[in-house]
Amino acid sequence: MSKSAIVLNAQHIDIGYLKGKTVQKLVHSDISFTLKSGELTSLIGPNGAGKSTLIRTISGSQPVISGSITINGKEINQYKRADLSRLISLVLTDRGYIDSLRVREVVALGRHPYTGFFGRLTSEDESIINRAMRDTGIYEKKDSFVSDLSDGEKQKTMIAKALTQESDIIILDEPTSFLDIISRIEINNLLRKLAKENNKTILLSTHDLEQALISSDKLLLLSKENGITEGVPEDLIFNGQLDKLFPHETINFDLKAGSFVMCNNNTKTIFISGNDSLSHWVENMIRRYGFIRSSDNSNSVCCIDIIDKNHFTVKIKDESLKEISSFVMLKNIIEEL
Amino acid sequence: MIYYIFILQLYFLHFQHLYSDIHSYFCADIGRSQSFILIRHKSSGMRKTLFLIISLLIILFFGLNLTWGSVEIPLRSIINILTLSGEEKSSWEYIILYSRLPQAITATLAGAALACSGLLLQTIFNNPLAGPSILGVDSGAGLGVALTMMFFGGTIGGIAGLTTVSGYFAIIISAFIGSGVILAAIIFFSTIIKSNLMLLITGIMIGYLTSALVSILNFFSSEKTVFAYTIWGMGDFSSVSLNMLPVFGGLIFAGLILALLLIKPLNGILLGERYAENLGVNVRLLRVLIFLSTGILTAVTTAFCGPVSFIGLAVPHVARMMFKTSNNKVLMPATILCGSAICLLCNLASNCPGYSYTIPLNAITALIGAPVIIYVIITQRSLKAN
Repeated sequence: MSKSAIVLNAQHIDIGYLKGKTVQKLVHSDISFTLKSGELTSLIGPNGAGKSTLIRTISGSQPVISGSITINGKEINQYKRADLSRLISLVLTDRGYIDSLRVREVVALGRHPYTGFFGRLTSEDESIINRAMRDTGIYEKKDSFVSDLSDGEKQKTMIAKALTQESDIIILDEPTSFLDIISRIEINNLLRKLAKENNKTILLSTHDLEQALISSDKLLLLSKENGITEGVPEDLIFNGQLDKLFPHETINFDLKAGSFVMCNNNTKTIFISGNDSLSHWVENMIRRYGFIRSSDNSNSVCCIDIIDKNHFTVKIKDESLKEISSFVMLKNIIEEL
Repeated sequence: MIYYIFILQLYFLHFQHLYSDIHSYFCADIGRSQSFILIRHKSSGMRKTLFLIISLLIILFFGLNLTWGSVEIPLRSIINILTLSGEEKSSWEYIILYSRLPQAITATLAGAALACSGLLLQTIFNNPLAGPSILGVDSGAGLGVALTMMFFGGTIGGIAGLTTVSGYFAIIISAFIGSGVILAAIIFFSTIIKSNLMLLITGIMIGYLTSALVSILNFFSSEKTVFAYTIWGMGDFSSVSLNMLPVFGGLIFAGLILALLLIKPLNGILLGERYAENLGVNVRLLRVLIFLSTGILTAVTTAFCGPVSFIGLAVPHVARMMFKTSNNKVLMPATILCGSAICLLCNLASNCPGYSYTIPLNAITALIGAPVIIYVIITQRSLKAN
């Protein structure tokens, strides 16, 4: 497969739940997007936007109500179940009953679509399993029981399982939702590496906007109101699409912070000058107490000049200049304002 | 013995693969880490040893079942009777061939069947506390049996009536329909109720419902029928006569073979249904086949031996604790063998060697099973393997 070819193409699809032949609940109508090989795509949207429904639909476990989803140019419902399992692999939040299986046994389950009636593994299967465990960095743990793994390692095990399925597409449902920050970064880097080095088409749904903006080649924004919007993260930030995703009066996407922040239009402003990283954290503090940083000092209620981490000067309007020596003291002053 | 050879063969059918897996694994990794290979070797060797121990225990308990009883028969005579050589007392011959041998075989088969159906239910419901008795499957079979007894006026086993083959079939079929209806109801509820715990409680409620129906039936039945039903309800392995053994054994083999053929998809479904689907497992078909296998195994055992409690629930856990795996390639044969061994032991205990009394089988199985279940619940957090 050539690099960056369209692997999955969804055109004008309606997704939702059928009961018999009638539509019981329509979640979205007329949405279109593509997934390309070698790309990491993140699906982002508020709770209830239909991320899971979308994932179930494109992974073939739920029928498309109308429109077309093609994988490598062929309609998804033309594929047999067994063929589909070689095209798409899933990593889900389901916990299963695998605590007393060893890592290697779980990863080996990914060979299920390829093995015969008794599930016997050939030496080729073995080498695929070993390679998948090495690629995901779980090889050292191959003989551990799943119950003894950390959440991050469990996730890596499931990703290794997905790799042994040797599918073009890997779809992950909130792969980092239970993880601590280090594991989150690790998993995101791993997925990025798999997209680039193994030329996989990777789609993941996530609530971790920060990581998604850092590591995704493309974002799919899904919301009840606007359906799906796709694009490069930076484009979506600057054309205001990301802001539209979570329509909320006082929570907006802050371009500088790269995340959603609380802001009130009539908040008072504080002018901050000085060292870059320190001023970032001073801004973090004033925001907590309901102020926003201003770029000019003329109408600010207060000016903070940072010399170093033990040395700030604070000038409150109509008051004299104060010298303070710690964040605690700064906090006390801001609280008083 | 034929049974035993048969199970061993099935076991080897699967295990050739397992061992060759491990074997090729050694070869691929030789030189990488010597100590590591040793650990591998040890764990597979341990499994072999465990299988050997359980097999020896089955043979031992089987032998004890033949030798222990209210009538003392010397070992030499027993061997003579079994090998059909030499002249022995005809009463002894009768006891061994028509009472103790069928009973031991029944216990072996029933244990295998119940344990296996417990494992199947635990796997498909993804729930460590599922089992034929908990989910009410055997009380469903009981209801079927009670209805048949009411309408045919007979009783089960050697007590009275219905000793003909057709009578037995009526009872087996009604037990099968009864357990099938309950299984279908539980599968139906499992599509609505997502919480496993709630599903279990629903199963328990269904069990109560069927028991209540049985009580009502009993209210309108003759004293004799109620007595027979109560005796049947205590469970025992002595009701299968020698000429009924082929039917009993044949049906149980059918159920066991079906279960053993499902090992691959059963492993797939360990990950959960959606994962299994993604791996190409036809979950709906798998459910139907498990339903069929469990239905046969539970119905046949329940029809002949009464609702034997706790074996289906507890034995898979005993096997899981011993073998430290939920990989069905290992766990299923292990569960089947453990079921046989434990039921032989229970039968031994219920026959109270040296006395002419029989303790109700269900009392014994509960004594063994309940503590296992409590242990499982306490250590459950996620049924840790070690």
